[in-house]
Amino acid sequence: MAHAFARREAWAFAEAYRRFGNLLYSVALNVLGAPQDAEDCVQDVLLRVWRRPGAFATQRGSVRAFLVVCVRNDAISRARSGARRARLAERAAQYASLDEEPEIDDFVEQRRVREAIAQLPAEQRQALVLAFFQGKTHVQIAQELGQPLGTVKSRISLALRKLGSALSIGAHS
Amino acid sequence: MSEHAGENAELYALGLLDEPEAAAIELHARTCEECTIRLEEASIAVADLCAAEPISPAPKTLESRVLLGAGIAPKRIRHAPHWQAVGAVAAALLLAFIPAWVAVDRTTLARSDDNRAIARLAAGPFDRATFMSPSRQPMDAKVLYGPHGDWYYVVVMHPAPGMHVAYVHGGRMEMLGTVSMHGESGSLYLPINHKMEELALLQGSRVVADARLVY
Repeated sequence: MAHAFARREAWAFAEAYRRFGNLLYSVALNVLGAPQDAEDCVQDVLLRVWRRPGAFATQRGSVRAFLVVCVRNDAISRARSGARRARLAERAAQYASLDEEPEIDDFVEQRRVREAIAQLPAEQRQALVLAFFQGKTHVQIAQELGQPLGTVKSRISLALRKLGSALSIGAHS
Repeated sequence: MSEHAGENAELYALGLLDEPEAAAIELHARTCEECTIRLEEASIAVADLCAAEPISPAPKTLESRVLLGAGIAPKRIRHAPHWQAVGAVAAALLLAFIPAWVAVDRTTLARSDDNRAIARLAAGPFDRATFMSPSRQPMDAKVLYGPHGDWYYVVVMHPAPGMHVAYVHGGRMEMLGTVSMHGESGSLYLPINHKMEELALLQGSRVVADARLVY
């Protein structure tokens, strides 16, 4: 499907929505909090991708990952232009104590990710939680932690790389 | 941007860069294989993080908004590639000429699958795993499977209507099928030749149990 999607074939675009529509909508909803805003975000991003030749290149590999990042980045931009949401704080609280059992629907996925996050060194985990779950910028995180910006960027980068590696290994072991 | 993305690749995937920085990375990655790979790895990790968050079904209207906005006519929605469409038409024509008494209903198909599963169970060794609830309590549901991971038979007592079985791997779930009801029990036979290490039972989009399979 990735090749057909890159060639902007209509069936591949429809298929991508069919496969990832719920995920993309949820990504937007989890950042924005409002269903209507999430719908607008997903629609705008997908149409932008569809109308721009070369937006997705097959070298990028995963259509899913590409679209998720596009939607999430757009949602974050929208959220930053508006008020900060209490929802982010609620979600961050879920990760404040990594020993508690998750009380969410997709507990299998959640558990896997939580276990991988728990394996990260404390300072990297802290930076990633602030960035992903609280939606803070690296500048805000640096200020909050009282650490140089470069250090915070490195911690976030390392955290995500280790997490990706751990989830990848976990999926194939 | 002529320099490599470096750790900005992860910051980009997490949505931490401002628009000019993000645009520069996208531009650079188009001509840099190394940065494309790093960006892809970071994007997959972020997508996995996102997939572990609660998933909400998108409103029905969103699909038509997106597809019509893309200029894809409703009649083309859900169309597969041309060769698949040709195959579907051929299958429809074939079915049209099959006498009614030959046609099989869902129950018959499910029974046929059960028979195949029973034949597997009777013919050779098999392993089993119990589905566990989120609070780690064993449920009245098991998966019996070939020691080489070449078939799976999910059996559930008192299943709710429309219970699905999914394969959990790589931070995502792949729907495998729906449990067929037989009175107080339900089953699903999966002749899949692939070693699956984790299966989940879903009610709608909610995971109600999971089973870890050992080979």
